[in-house]
Amino acid sequence: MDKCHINIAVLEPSTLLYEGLSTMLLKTHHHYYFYRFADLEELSSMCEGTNFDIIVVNPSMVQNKQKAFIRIKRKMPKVFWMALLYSYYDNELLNLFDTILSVTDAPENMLACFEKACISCRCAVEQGKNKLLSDREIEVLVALTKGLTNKEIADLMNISVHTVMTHRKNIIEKTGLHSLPALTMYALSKKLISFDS
Amino acid sequence: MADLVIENPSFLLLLEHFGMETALNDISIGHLCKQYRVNTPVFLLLCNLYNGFFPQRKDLNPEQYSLPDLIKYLKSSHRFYTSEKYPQIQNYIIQLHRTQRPEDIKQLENFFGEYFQEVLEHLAYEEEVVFPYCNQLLQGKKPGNNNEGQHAFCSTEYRDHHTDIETKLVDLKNLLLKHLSLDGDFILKRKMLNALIELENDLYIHSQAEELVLLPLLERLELKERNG
Repeated sequence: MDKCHINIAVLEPSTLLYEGLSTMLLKTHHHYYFYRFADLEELSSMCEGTNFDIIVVNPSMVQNKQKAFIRIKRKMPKVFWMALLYSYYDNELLNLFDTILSVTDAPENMLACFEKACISCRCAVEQGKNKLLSDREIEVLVALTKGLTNKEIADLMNISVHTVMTHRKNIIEKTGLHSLPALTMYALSKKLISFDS
Repeated sequence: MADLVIENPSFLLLLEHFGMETALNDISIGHLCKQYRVNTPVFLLLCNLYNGFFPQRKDLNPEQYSLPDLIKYLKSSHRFYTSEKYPQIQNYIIQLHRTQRPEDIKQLENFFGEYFQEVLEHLAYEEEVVFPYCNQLLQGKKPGNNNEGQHAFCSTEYRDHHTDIETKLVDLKNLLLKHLSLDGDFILKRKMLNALIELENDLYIHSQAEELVLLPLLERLELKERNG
């Protein structure tokens, strides 16, 4: 699927800043869609229904709520997180973001930052499209369809259980299939296993 | 109301779930609800869900939202799944026999059969345990005292059920869309995918209605009950 528009969520209490930011971005040729949120709770309640690409946050909205913020971040792993600063915050807080913008930055630099974020979003989409499983992933898949546990697969392939888990995660990501019966059907249709086995 | 349906055709299903006539003229939501004696806040809440807006927990007041109307909606959508949507998909799979190798279809049939069974079990659980429990609460009976088993359902378990049902449906959709080549059965494949997507959308709204509306309302009622 071609991704032609970018969904941007903004957590910024100042209307002036929000309007300024959106007006500036809308002047570019990108299709940006803006969603404004009053607080983290509101964002969290919306995050499952909408696919946000970039989320711009005033760090004051996250201060003292780091745990809740990290939870939300985990729920939206593909989002590019930007902090929008106009006062000082300590590094521990700022490290939670992918990039940091300051209101005093030149408009060109700000736009370039968004441009970069868009590219990284697109790359993530492109990477997801990579459909073929690697040889090791196929080995794990075949073992899974035979009913082996993670530990058994790890022993069989001489790798750690952690690596098996990583392979499994990649298999799910690449095939879009989560359940074992579905994966078995996939393996059958790609002739990775036969009916007899 | 008609404008809403034109904007988002899935509202037709919502109307159907409430048994509402679709010759809407220019009738407003308020009027429609009055005419069919449906609690307007519940109807609006579901409209919002269909449009992708989720309610905030703090806004859910059991006095304002009619639980029986919500249950009516949920029960009607159960009927829609069991007597319309799933049989429709099952029927498509049977039709595949005409053009596909039996061993390929067998797997798909098994997968779908097991999945359908799981869904039926979950729906039966809701009808037999969850909804009667709601009714008891509404009638002011203290549940749990007379039947310990009734209190056994908890929200996390409930959520897991839903996630499982949705995940398998996504798997089925992905299998058809990305991996299985049904040579020569283009039209059937499209019909099946359309049916799956419609089902997926409605199931999603359904589970959101249960998790974000029904459960919080229940919890508030329970709290009220406990505090006398």
